[in-house]
Amino acid sequence: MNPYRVLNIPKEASQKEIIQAVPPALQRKEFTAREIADAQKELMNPRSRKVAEFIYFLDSQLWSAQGVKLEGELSGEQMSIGDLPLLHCFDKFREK
Amino acid sequence: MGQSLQKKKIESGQSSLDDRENRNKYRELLEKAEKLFQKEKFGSAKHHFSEAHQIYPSDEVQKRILSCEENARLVAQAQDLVKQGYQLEREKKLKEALKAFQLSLNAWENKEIRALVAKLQSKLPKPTLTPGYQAEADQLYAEAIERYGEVLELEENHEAKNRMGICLVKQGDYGEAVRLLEPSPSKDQETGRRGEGEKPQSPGPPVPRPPGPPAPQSPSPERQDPEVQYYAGYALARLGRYGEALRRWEIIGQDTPELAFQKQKLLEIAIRDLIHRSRLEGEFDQAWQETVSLLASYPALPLVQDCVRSMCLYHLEELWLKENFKAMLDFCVSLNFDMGFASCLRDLPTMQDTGIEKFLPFILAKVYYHLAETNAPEYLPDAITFWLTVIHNPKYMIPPELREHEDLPVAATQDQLTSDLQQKLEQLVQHYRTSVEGLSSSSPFQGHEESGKTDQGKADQGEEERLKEILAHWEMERKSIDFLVEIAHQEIAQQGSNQGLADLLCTPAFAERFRLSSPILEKLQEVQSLWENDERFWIVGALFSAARRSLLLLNQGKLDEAMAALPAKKNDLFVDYCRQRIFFRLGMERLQKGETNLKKYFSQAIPLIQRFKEYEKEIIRLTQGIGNDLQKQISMDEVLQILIRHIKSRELLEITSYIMSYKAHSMYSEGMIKAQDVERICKKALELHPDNEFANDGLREVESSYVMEELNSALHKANVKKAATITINAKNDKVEEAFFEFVDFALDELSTTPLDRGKKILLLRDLYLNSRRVDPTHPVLDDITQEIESLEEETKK
Repeated sequence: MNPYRVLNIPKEASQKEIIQAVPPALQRKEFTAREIADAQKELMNPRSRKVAEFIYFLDSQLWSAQGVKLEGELSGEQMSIGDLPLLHCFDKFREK
Repeated sequence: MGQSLQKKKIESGQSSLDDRENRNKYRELLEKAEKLFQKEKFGSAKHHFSEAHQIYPSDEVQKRILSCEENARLVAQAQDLVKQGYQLEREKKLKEALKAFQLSLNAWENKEIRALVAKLQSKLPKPTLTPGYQAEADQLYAEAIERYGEVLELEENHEAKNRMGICLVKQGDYGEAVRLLEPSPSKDQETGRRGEGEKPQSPGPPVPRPPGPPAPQSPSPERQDPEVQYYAGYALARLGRYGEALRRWEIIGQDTPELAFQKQKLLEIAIRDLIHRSRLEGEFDQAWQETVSLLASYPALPLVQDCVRSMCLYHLEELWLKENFKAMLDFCVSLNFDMGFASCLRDLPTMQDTGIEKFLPFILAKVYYHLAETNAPEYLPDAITFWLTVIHNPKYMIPPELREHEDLPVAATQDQLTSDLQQKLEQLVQHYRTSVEGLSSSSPFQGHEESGKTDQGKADQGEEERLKEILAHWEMERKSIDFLVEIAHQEIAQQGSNQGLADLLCTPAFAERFRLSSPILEKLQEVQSLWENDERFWIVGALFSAARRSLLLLNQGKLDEAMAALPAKKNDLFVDYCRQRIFFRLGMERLQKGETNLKKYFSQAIPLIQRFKEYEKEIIRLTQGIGNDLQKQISMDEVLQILIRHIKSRELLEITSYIMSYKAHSMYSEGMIKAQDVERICKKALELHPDNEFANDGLREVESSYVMEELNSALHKANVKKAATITINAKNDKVEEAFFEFVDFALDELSTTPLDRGKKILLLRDLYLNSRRVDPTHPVLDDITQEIESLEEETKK
């Protein structure tokens, strides 16, 4: 069971936030008290938290350093398809 | 009873007669219908097809009926148009008549009408494009479109079509322009109807087509005109069909500075638009196809590559957040790159890698893990393979981009994380095992054979089989990678570099799937001298070698299949190892049944038994269970005699010695061999193991039996003196007992035999003296004395 989902907290939640997330989780009654306690325990322990991070997060955006580069390349003059001018350099008709 | 049978026979005969008649009629109807169809008499053809269909209904004939109906409709439509044409011609409205005839030809081909069209066209003034050109020059595009349309009404004219398409682009009607500027389809595609006399096609599977938008057909020469290509491309671009648009512009071949700039701009627009669209709900698939199409056109362009990668990772992240792992798997599998991982996942058309490939094992490990949580039988094997590989190989565990990230786990914590993640996988395997077996007591890490022996009453046969397969897979994969890690650690410790095996770490299944086995095998062979006495080296090597399949079958106990799957390769380290294992197992199977002629199996397995003590121990363990079963003793003796020629271990020699003496004893008891044979065998057994008590006993027994034979011979000849001498020399209780049994018997015989008293007394005295030589205290001496005295008394009287 995904402890982050049980406690409804983000990956970077601090120890304090983990503890604070317990009462609302109990109130929601989506998970049993046992499941909530296990989730808290799992995330409070740095070692088991690392395992949980690996299992429950993909973080694909982290790897795509080139993604930033892409944004940079496209960040110049923003032209839409409607702005694309029609070229007449191939118009043979004008010669006729 | 008899009458009823006869009636049935008659009915059955009648029925087969009816069948024959029906078949003939059916055939005749179809032949007639086809002929009528060829003659374009579709009404009559339909009638005959319908009759045939009533006899034997079939989809094929049903299609022919529908085809008749469709063709009849087209013919009727064409006939109406022809009538109209004739009427207009009579009214001298030649242009309109020509149009009607042309429309009729569109509906139904007719040679006469085509000739008539040609005749009318020659009568009419030749349609000219000049008015259209003029209007276009005056930038009156709507009028130009009308003029070109008029020409097209009269004849098929590519130039008119192109000009009209170009004008439509200038007018902003891109959809219609693309239709006109599209390469011409074939005539059949255009009319959509079946050619004359064409046979119906049997329905078949659709021909697979690579993903992406439809590839443009090769343009006809006039369509390669740069102006046409440019305007067609522009229209396609405005419709969002960027890949096709750029391909059209590539055909132009002359990159003017304006066009080069516009292509670059279009690419940027396309990429921005595609990325935007891909992030809209329900738009991803189409945007992705369009992007892949762009990549096909510009495989080396970094902008396109970045777009593909960015879109791909974003999409995967989206699916991950929705926990739609199945969609993630399907998407990853659809990424068929030219080389490497994904190309091995499925045999589909390939696409160029844009840097996504290296992330795939990492993503797939997590995807398979989560899929296995809910569907272990299907996904657990892949979860095991990917997970173990990724967590043990830093190359997959932390992709280069991540390694530079300062928050990431450093090498020192890596082992701990790896171990914890492996434990998580173990829990998943254990959970599946428990759910199938309904037991949780046994360890998931027992070997394959042992796992099959647990109580699996609650699982049905299929689940049980699947569990066994998966547990075997788990064992193989885990043990293999653990061993490779051990070797890699030693390599790092000795050489201080992790560029060797550590970089190649993966499970055998992973290596097989992604063709990574060869470098691993090379590495293993490099370290052979260090590890060859550890059987894991051979098992793991075999799993990475061509013998993999054979070894897997062997572990499942499928010995014959394992033998058949063994590669023909000779002098291959791991194939030879696998062959020896199979021969050993085949031999053991036969040995347990007490079969003989086992030389061919065990002589092949000798290198294996010599190298690894465990195999010798297994044979020795088997000897403990054979008991008094003579057949098994013979079988075991045969095997041990083969082995001790090559293996001189103390344990093996001792057990061979025992088995030899047991066998000799059993055979002697059954009367199958003589005492001399037993003596010879026991002496040989004692050479192997001098302390073999059983062989020593055997020898003693044989010796006593020899004396008994001599004694019996002497007694048989009534030579009591010699018998007594033998008994005295033997110093054997059994012999003495036999001697005195004879004395008792002789005493009884003499007392009842009607013999002269004097002679009786002489014989009794002889018996007495010899008995006293053997045992002066034996009670029979008193009996003999008493008998002699009694006889002497009687003589005195």
